[in-house]
Amino acid sequence: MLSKNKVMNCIIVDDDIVSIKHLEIMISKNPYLNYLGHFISGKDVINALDDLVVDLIFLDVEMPEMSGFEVLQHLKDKPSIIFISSKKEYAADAFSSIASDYLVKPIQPDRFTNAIKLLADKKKISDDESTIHDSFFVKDKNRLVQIFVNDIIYIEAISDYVQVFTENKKYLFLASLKNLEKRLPHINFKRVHRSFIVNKYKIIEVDENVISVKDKNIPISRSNKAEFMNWINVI
Amino acid sequence: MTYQYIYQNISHFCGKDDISTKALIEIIKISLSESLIELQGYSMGNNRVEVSNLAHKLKTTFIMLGDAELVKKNNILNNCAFENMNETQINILYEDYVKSIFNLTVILDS
Repeated sequence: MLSKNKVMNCIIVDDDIVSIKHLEIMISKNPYLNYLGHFISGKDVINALDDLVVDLIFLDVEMPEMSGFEVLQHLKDKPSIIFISSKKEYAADAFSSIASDYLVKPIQPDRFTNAIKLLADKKKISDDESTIHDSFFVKDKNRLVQIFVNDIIYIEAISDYVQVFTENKKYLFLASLKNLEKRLPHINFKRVHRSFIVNKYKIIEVDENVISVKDKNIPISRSNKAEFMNWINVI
Repeated sequence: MTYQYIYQNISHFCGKDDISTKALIEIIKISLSESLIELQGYSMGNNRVEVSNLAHKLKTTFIMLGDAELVKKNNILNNCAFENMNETQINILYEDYVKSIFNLTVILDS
Protein backbone atom coordinates (compact mmCIF):
# COMPACT_ATOMS: atom_id res chain seq x y z
CA MET A 1 0.00 0.00 0.00
CA LEU A 2 1.15 3.55 -0.63
CA SER A 3 2.14 5.73 2.26
CA LYS A 4 -0.23 8.51 3.29
CA ASN A 5 1.46 11.19 1.20
CA LYS A 6 1.07 9.03 -1.94
CA VAL A 7 -2.73 9.15 -1.85
CA MET A 8 -4.10 10.51 -5.12
CA ASN A 9 -6.42 13.52 -5.08
CA CYS A 10 -9.25 12.72 -7.46
CA ILE A 11 -12.35 14.31 -8.97
CA ILE A 12 -15.25 13.05 -11.09
CA VAL A 13 -16.50 14.77 -14.23
CA ASP A 14 -19.86 13.31 -15.30
CA ASP A 15 -23.35 14.61 -16.00
CA ASP A 16 -25.17 11.56 -14.59
CA ILE A 17 -25.90 11.69 -10.84
CA VAL A 18 -26.29 7.91 -10.52
CA SER A 19 -22.84 7.28 -12.01
CA ILE A 20 -21.36 10.01 -9.80
CA LYS A 21 -22.86 8.47 -6.65
CA HIS A 22 -21.70 4.99 -7.64
CA LEU A 23 -18.13 6.22 -8.22
CA GLU A 24 -18.18 8.19 -4.96
CA ILE A 25 -19.05 4.99 -3.10
CA MET A 26 -16.15 3.09 -4.66
CA ILE A 27 -13.72 5.99 -4.14
CA SER A 28 -14.69 6.26 -0.46
CA LYS A 29 -13.69 2.62 0.06
CA ASN A 30 -10.37 2.90 -1.78
CA PRO A 31 -7.25 3.58 0.32
CA TYR A 32 -5.31 5.13 -2.58
CA LEU A 33 -7.83 7.89 -3.25
CA ASN A 34 -8.75 11.21 -1.68
CA TYR A 35 -12.00 12.56 -3.14
CA LEU A 36 -12.19 16.30 -3.80
CA GLY A 37 -15.60 16.51 -5.49
CA HIS A 38 -17.46 16.25 -8.77
CA PHE A 39 -18.28 18.46 -11.74
CA ILE A 40 -21.18 17.99 -14.12
CA SER A 41 -19.66 19.69 -17.16
CA GLY A 42 -16.32 20.07 -18.87
CA LYS A 43 -16.49 23.84 -18.65
CA ASP A 44 -16.93 23.72 -14.85
CA VAL A 45 -13.92 21.50 -14.33
CA ILE A 46 -11.61 23.52 -16.59
CA ASN A 47 -12.39 26.65 -14.55
CA ALA A 48 -12.11 24.85 -11.20
CA LEU A 49 -8.72 23.30 -11.93
CA ASP A 50 -7.11 26.71 -11.43
CA ASP A 51 -7.69 26.25 -7.71
CA LEU A 52 -7.30 22.49 -7.28
CA VAL A 53 -4.35 20.16 -7.16
CA VAL A 54 -5.67 17.01 -8.81
CA ASP A 55 -3.77 13.77 -9.45
CA LEU A 56 -6.56 11.81 -11.12
CA ILE A 57 -9.75 12.64 -13.03
CA PHE A 58 -12.55 10.15 -13.68
CA LEU A 59 -13.73 11.65 -16.93
CA ASP A 60 -16.98 10.73 -18.67
CA VAL A 61 -16.64 10.56 -22.45
CA GLU A 62 -20.13 11.60 -23.55
CA MET A 63 -21.32 14.82 -21.97
CA PRO A 64 -23.43 17.63 -23.43
CA GLU A 65 -21.56 20.71 -24.70
CA MET A 66 -18.05 19.28 -24.26
CA SER A 67 -16.94 15.65 -24.52
CA GLY A 68 -14.34 14.10 -22.22
CA PHE A 69 -11.82 14.13 -25.07
CA GLU A 70 -12.38 17.87 -25.58
CA VAL A 71 -11.96 18.50 -21.85
CA LEU A 72 -8.64 16.67 -21.99
CA GLN A 73 -7.40 18.96 -24.78
CA HIS A 74 -8.11 22.03 -22.63
CA LEU A 75 -6.16 20.82 -19.59
CA LYS A 76 -2.71 22.42 -19.40
CA ASP A 77 -1.18 20.44 -16.56
CA LYS A 78 -2.62 17.01 -17.29
CA PRO A 79 -3.25 14.71 -14.31
CA SER A 80 -3.86 10.97 -14.73
CA ILE A 81 -7.11 10.30 -16.57
CA ILE A 82 -9.45 7.34 -16.27
CA PHE A 83 -12.15 7.59 -18.89
CA ILE A 84 -15.60 6.26 -18.02
CA SER A 85 -18.38 5.53 -20.48
CA SER A 86 -21.45 3.39 -20.97
CA LYS A 87 -20.12 2.53 -24.45
CA LYS A 88 -17.14 0.34 -25.28
CA GLU A 89 -16.44 1.92 -28.65
CA TYR A 90 -14.43 4.88 -27.34
CA ALA A 91 -11.85 2.64 -25.67
CA ALA A 92 -9.41 2.72 -28.61
CA ASP A 93 -9.51 6.55 -28.75
CA ALA A 94 -9.10 6.71 -24.99
CA PHE A 95 -6.03 4.48 -24.95
CA SER A 96 -4.47 6.40 -27.84
CA SER A 97 -4.71 9.53 -25.65
CA ILE A 98 -2.90 9.83 -22.32
CA ALA A 99 -5.60 7.85 -20.51
CA SER A 100 -4.44 5.44 -17.82
CA ASP A 101 -7.54 3.29 -18.13
CA TYR A 102 -11.03 3.02 -19.57
CA LEU A 103 -13.93 1.79 -17.42
CA VAL A 104 -17.28 0.77 -18.87
CA LYS A 105 -20.38 1.75 -16.87
CA PRO A 106 -21.76 0.36 -14.71
CA ILE A 107 -18.28 -0.08 -13.28
CA GLN A 108 -17.64 -3.42 -11.59
CA PRO A 109 -16.06 -2.89 -8.14
CA ASP A 110 -13.24 -5.40 -8.83
CA ARG A 111 -12.40 -3.72 -12.11
CA PHE A 112 -12.32 -0.35 -10.36
CA THR A 113 -10.02 -1.63 -7.60
CA ASN A 114 -7.61 -3.13 -10.15
CA ALA A 115 -7.51 0.06 -12.21
CA ILE A 116 -6.61 2.14 -9.17
CA LYS A 117 -4.06 -0.39 -7.91
CA LEU A 118 -2.34 -0.43 -11.32
CA LEU A 119 -2.25 3.36 -11.44
CA ALA A 120 -0.95 3.65 -7.88
CA ASP A 121 1.81 1.12 -8.61
CA LYS A 122 2.73 2.96 -11.80
CA LYS A 123 2.91 6.26 -9.92
CA LYS A 124 5.04 4.70 -7.21
CA ILE A 125 7.48 3.32 -9.79
CA SER A 126 7.66 6.65 -11.59
CA ASP A 127 8.24 8.47 -8.27
CA ASP A 128 10.98 6.01 -7.34
CA GLU A 129 12.59 6.48 -10.73
CA SER A 130 12.63 10.26 -10.46
CA THR A 131 16.07 10.95 -9.11
CA ILE A 132 16.23 13.62 -6.47
CA HIS A 133 19.42 15.69 -6.45
CA ASP A 134 20.70 18.48 -4.23
CA SER A 135 20.79 20.80 -7.22
CA PHE A 136 19.81 21.07 -10.87
CA PHE A 137 20.85 23.13 -13.87
CA VAL A 138 18.58 25.42 -15.84
CA LYS A 139 19.11 27.39 -19.00
CA ASP A 140 19.61 31.11 -18.36
CA LYS A 141 20.09 32.82 -21.74
CA ASN A 142 23.06 30.92 -23.22
CA ARG A 143 24.43 29.56 -19.96
CA LEU A 144 23.49 26.68 -17.71
CA VAL A 145 23.07 27.89 -14.15
CA GLN A 146 23.08 25.67 -11.09
CA ILE A 147 20.26 26.06 -8.57
CA PHE A 148 20.69 24.43 -5.17
CA VAL A 149 17.36 23.09 -3.93
CA ASN A 150 18.00 24.32 -0.40
CA ASP A 151 18.22 27.89 -1.73
CA ILE A 152 14.76 27.75 -3.28
CA ILE A 153 12.06 29.68 -1.41
CA TYR A 154 9.17 28.89 -3.71
CA ILE A 155 8.34 28.04 -7.31
CA GLU A 156 5.51 29.52 -9.33
CA ALA A 157 3.94 28.18 -12.54
CA ILE A 158 3.40 30.83 -15.20
CA SER A 159 1.65 29.33 -18.21
CA ASP A 160 4.15 26.82 -19.74
CA TYR A 161 7.04 28.22 -17.66
CA VAL A 162 8.09 28.03 -14.04
CA GLN A 163 9.77 30.74 -12.04
CA VAL A 164 12.10 29.64 -9.25
CA PHE A 165 12.67 32.18 -6.47
CA THR A 166 15.81 31.91 -4.36
CA GLU A 167 17.14 34.34 -1.71
CA ASN A 168 19.04 36.40 -4.27
CA LYS A 169 17.70 35.63 -7.69
CA LYS A 170 14.78 34.36 -9.71
CA TYR A 171 14.97 32.03 -12.72
CA LEU A 172 12.36 31.64 -15.43
CA PHE A 173 12.50 28.56 -17.65
CA LEU A 174 10.32 26.21 -19.68
CA ALA A 175 9.12 23.33 -17.48
CA SER A 176 6.01 21.99 -15.81
CA LEU A 177 5.48 22.32 -12.08
CA LYS A 178 4.53 18.66 -11.97
CA ASN A 179 7.87 17.47 -13.41
CA LEU A 180 9.86 19.82 -11.22
CA GLU A 181 7.95 18.63 -8.14
CA LYS A 182 9.16 15.07 -8.83
CA ARG A 183 12.80 16.21 -8.69
CA LEU A 184 12.45 17.94 -5.34
CA PRO A 185 12.72 16.23 -1.95
CA HIS A 186 9.16 15.76 -0.67
CA ILE A 187 10.18 16.38 2.90
CA ASN A 188 11.16 20.00 2.05
CA PHE A 189 8.89 20.84 -0.84
CA LYS A 190 5.14 20.67 -1.28
CA ARG A 191 2.69 21.68 -3.95
CA VAL A 192 0.30 23.88 -1.96
CA HIS A 193 -1.65 25.27 -4.89
CA ARG A 194 -2.03 24.49 -8.57
CA SER A 195 0.55 27.20 -9.31
CA PHE A 196 2.88 27.04 -6.31
CA ILE A 197 5.45 24.77 -4.68
CA VAL A 198 6.88 25.97 -1.39
CA ASN A 199 9.98 25.08 0.64
CA LYS A 200 8.88 24.25 4.19
CA TYR A 201 12.07 25.62 5.70
CA LYS A 202 11.52 29.06 4.12
CA ILE A 203 8.02 29.57 5.51
CA ILE A 204 7.80 32.50 7.94
CA GLU A 205 4.16 32.07 8.98
CA VAL A 206 0.81 30.64 7.96
CA ASP A 207 -2.33 32.73 8.27
CA GLU A 208 -5.53 30.86 7.43
CA ASN A 209 -5.06 29.99 3.74
CA VAL A 210 -1.99 32.11 3.08
CA ILE A 211 1.69 31.18 3.52
CA SER A 212 4.16 33.99 4.05
CA VAL A 213 7.67 33.57 2.72
CA LYS A 214 10.22 36.31 2.00
CA ASP A 215 8.43 39.13 0.11
CA LYS A 216 5.56 36.91 -0.97
CA ASN A 217 2.19 35.57 0.16
CA ILE A 218 1.31 32.18 -1.32
CA PRO A 219 -2.25 30.82 -1.36
CA ILE A 220 -3.05 27.31 -0.13
CA SER A 221 -5.74 25.42 -2.05
CA ARG A 222 -8.72 24.37 0.04
CA SER A 223 -8.16 20.80 -1.11
CA ASN A 224 -4.55 20.86 0.12
CA LYS A 225 -5.09 22.54 3.47
CA ALA A 226 -5.42 19.45 5.68
CA GLU A 227 -2.46 17.69 4.07
CA PHE A 228 -0.39 20.88 4.31
CA MET A 229 -1.13 21.33 8.03
CA ASN A 230 -0.08 17.74 8.60
CA TRP A 231 3.12 18.26 6.59
CA ILE A 232 4.31 21.36 8.50
CA ASN A 233 3.90 19.50 11.79
CA VAL A 234 1.68 21.80 13.86
CA ILE A 235 1.97 21.09 17.59
CA MET B 1 -39.27 -7.21 -10.41
CA THR B 2 -39.18 -6.73 -6.63
CA TYR B 3 -37.36 -4.37 -4.27
CA GLN B 4 -35.37 -7.34 -2.98
CA TYR B 5 -34.20 -8.24 -6.51
CA ILE B 6 -33.16 -4.64 -7.17
CA TYR B 7 -31.43 -4.41 -3.81
CA GLN B 8 -29.35 -7.54 -4.57
CA ASN B 9 -28.25 -6.15 -7.92
CA ILE B 10 -27.34 -2.71 -6.61
CA SER B 11 -25.62 -4.29 -3.62
CA HIS B 12 -23.23 -6.08 -5.99
CA PHE B 13 -22.10 -2.73 -7.41
CA CYS B 14 -21.64 -1.32 -3.89
CA GLY B 15 -19.39 -4.09 -2.61
CA LYS B 16 -22.27 -5.66 -0.64
CA ASP B 17 -22.37 -2.68 1.70
CA ASP B 18 -25.87 -1.99 3.05
CA ILE B 19 -25.51 1.75 3.71
CA SER B 20 -23.95 2.41 0.30
CA THR B 21 -26.59 0.25 -1.44
CA LYS B 22 -29.45 2.17 0.18
CA ALA B 23 -27.77 5.50 -0.60
CA LEU B 24 -27.37 4.56 -4.26
CA ILE B 25 -30.99 3.34 -4.47
CA GLU B 26 -32.11 6.73 -3.10
CA ILE B 27 -30.18 8.53 -5.86
CA ILE B 28 -31.61 6.16 -8.49
CA LYS B 29 -35.12 6.93 -7.19
CA ILE B 30 -34.52 10.67 -7.58
CA SER B 31 -32.98 10.21 -11.02
CA LEU B 32 -35.87 8.04 -12.27
CA SER B 33 -38.54 10.39 -10.87
CA GLU B 34 -36.89 13.36 -12.60
CA SER B 35 -36.56 11.41 -15.85
CA LEU B 36 -40.20 10.39 -15.64
CA ILE B 37 -41.31 14.01 -15.36
CA GLU B 38 -39.18 14.85 -18.40
CA LEU B 39 -40.51 11.88 -20.41
CA GLN B 40 -44.12 12.72 -19.61
CA GLY B 41 -43.58 16.10 -21.26
CA TYR B 42 -42.25 14.51 -24.45
CA SER B 43 -43.85 12.72 -27.38
CA MET B 44 -42.11 10.41 -29.85
CA GLY B 45 -43.45 12.54 -32.70
CA ASN B 46 -41.62 15.67 -31.57
CA ASN B 47 -38.87 14.73 -29.15
CA ARG B 48 -36.87 11.80 -30.54
CA VAL B 49 -33.53 13.47 -29.87
CA GLU B 50 -34.48 14.37 -26.28
CA VAL B 51 -35.79 10.84 -25.64
CA SER B 52 -32.63 9.35 -27.12
CA ASN B 53 -30.43 11.56 -24.90
CA LEU B 54 -32.39 10.63 -21.80
CA ALA B 55 -32.25 6.93 -22.70
CA HIS B 56 -28.47 7.28 -23.06
CA LYS B 57 -28.28 8.69 -19.54
CA LEU B 58 -30.49 5.95 -18.07
CA LYS B 59 -28.66 3.03 -19.69
CA THR B 60 -26.25 2.53 -16.77
CA THR B 61 -29.07 2.68 -14.22
CA PHE B 62 -31.16 0.00 -15.92
CA ILE B 63 -28.17 -2.33 -16.24
CA MET B 64 -27.45 -1.86 -12.53
CA LEU B 65 -31.07 -2.55 -11.63
CA GLY B 66 -30.89 -5.80 -13.61
CA ASP B 67 -33.98 -5.04 -15.70
CA ALA B 68 -33.12 -6.79 -18.99
CA GLU B 69 -36.43 -5.90 -20.70
CA LEU B 70 -36.02 -2.24 -19.90
CA VAL B 71 -32.38 -2.29 -21.06
CA LYS B 72 -33.61 -3.67 -24.40
CA LYS B 73 -36.31 -0.98 -24.83
CA ASN B 74 -33.86 1.67 -23.69
CA ASN B 75 -31.28 0.61 -26.30
CA ILE B 76 -33.85 0.91 -29.09
CA LEU B 77 -34.84 4.42 -27.97
CA ASN B 78 -31.23 5.49 -27.31
CA ASN B 79 -30.07 4.40 -30.77
CA CYS B 80 -33.35 5.32 -32.53
CA ALA B 81 -33.27 1.74 -33.87
CA PHE B 82 -36.78 1.77 -35.33
CA GLU B 83 -35.97 0.12 -38.70
CA ASN B 84 -38.65 -2.59 -38.45
CA MET B 85 -41.23 -0.52 -36.60
CA ASN B 86 -44.07 1.70 -37.79
CA GLU B 87 -45.21 4.89 -36.00
CA THR B 88 -47.85 3.07 -33.94
CA GLN B 89 -45.35 0.48 -32.73
CA ILE B 90 -42.84 3.20 -31.83
CA ASN B 91 -45.48 5.04 -29.81
CA ILE B 92 -46.50 1.83 -28.04
CA LEU B 93 -42.85 1.13 -27.23
CA TYR B 94 -42.48 4.65 -25.82
CA GLU B 95 -45.61 4.40 -23.68
CA ASP B 96 -44.51 1.00 -22.44
CA TYR B 97 -41.07 2.44 -21.62
CA VAL B 98 -42.55 5.30 -19.59
CA LYS B 99 -44.89 2.87 -17.82
CA SER B 100 -41.97 0.56 -16.93
CA ILE B 101 -40.04 3.46 -15.41
CA PHE B 102 -43.12 4.50 -13.45
CA ASN B 103 -43.47 0.93 -12.13
CA LEU B 104 -39.82 0.97 -11.09
CA THR B 105 -40.32 4.16 -9.06
CA VAL B 106 -43.29 2.51 -7.33
CA ILE B 107 -41.19 -0.58 -6.46
CA LEU B 108 -38.30 1.59 -5.21
CA ASP B 109 -40.73 3.56 -3.02
CA SER B 110 -42.03 0.40 -1.37
